[in-house]
Amino acid sequence: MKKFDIELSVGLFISVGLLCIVYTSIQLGQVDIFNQKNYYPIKAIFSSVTGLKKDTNVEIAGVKVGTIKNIELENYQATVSMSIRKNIEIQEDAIASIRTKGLLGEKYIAITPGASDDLIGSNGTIFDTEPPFDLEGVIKHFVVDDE
Amino acid sequence: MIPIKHITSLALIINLLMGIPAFSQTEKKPDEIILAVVEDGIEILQDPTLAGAKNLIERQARIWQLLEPHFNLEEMSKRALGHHWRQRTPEERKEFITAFTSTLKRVYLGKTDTYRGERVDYIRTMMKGNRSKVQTYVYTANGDKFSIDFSLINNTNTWKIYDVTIEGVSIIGNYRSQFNSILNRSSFEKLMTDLRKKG
Repeated sequence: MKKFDIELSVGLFISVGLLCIVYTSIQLGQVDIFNQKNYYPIKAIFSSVTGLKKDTNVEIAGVKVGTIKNIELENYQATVSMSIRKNIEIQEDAIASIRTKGLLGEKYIAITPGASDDLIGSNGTIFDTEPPFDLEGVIKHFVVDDE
Repeated sequence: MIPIKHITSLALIINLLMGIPAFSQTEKKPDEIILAVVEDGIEILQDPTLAGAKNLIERQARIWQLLEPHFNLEEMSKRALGHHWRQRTPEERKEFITAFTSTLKRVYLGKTDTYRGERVDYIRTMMKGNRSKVQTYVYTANGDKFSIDFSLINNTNTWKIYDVTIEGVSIIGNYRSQFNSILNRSSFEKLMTDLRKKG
């Protein structure tokens, strides 16, 4: 009986430990396995996504409403797949812009809501997009331009 | 009661007899519209009879006459106001379209006079439903390259421009952010006063 108690305690201890490791991994990896049904997928096509990375935020008015799930090259343009919270409505004339946190910070997608009554549904695409601001290009024009 | 198919046939015959196309097959494609407008615009700017400071008003009037039919000013105003558009009454919307059009005319018509022999190259057209984006590159005389994308919408069987994106910066997106910021800390009346003052 005493031996059984020790085995049970060790088993329980290891199980709790494993659960803690799994939970910490999910939290650190920002894996949203429990809430996937609360999100819907949409896409946006950009002429350039320089510096934009997977798993970064999608924001409206500075509030996180989703995450970038994938970035692919299609027809020489960048297609960004995003996962958006189900309670967030995105109009078909919304604009998706790639912005930078601070001057040299991480890149993210900011969505500015539109005026249309038509909404972008699951697997829909945001047509109006703005690529990241090319600071280097502007500096180059500024330095080189002699006018 | 005449069956619908007979009415359609009748309309087709009448249109053929009148020399009017029954379907919009002759309707210009978005890239054709943009390239034609650019070409006609350059022609006006290079017209020696319209050159010089003394012809500025006439020159800009001719440019506006050329551009206006190709812009969907209501769509531009609606998009520039973003989600605030839905809270406005029909009268307020009309007033906003007038004031915003004046602002666009004042800001961008003057810029056409900075033309220095730039060349426009067509890259491609992206289509999605009743919207399209015509991508172009503008080459300056000293070899610099700028991207200019024209966004068009087909609401009334004609493609019309609703936004222009220069080097990745959308004109309408830029106005939307500015108007949103004003309307979040102030009123629609204040925005209209500011627009009328500047327009």
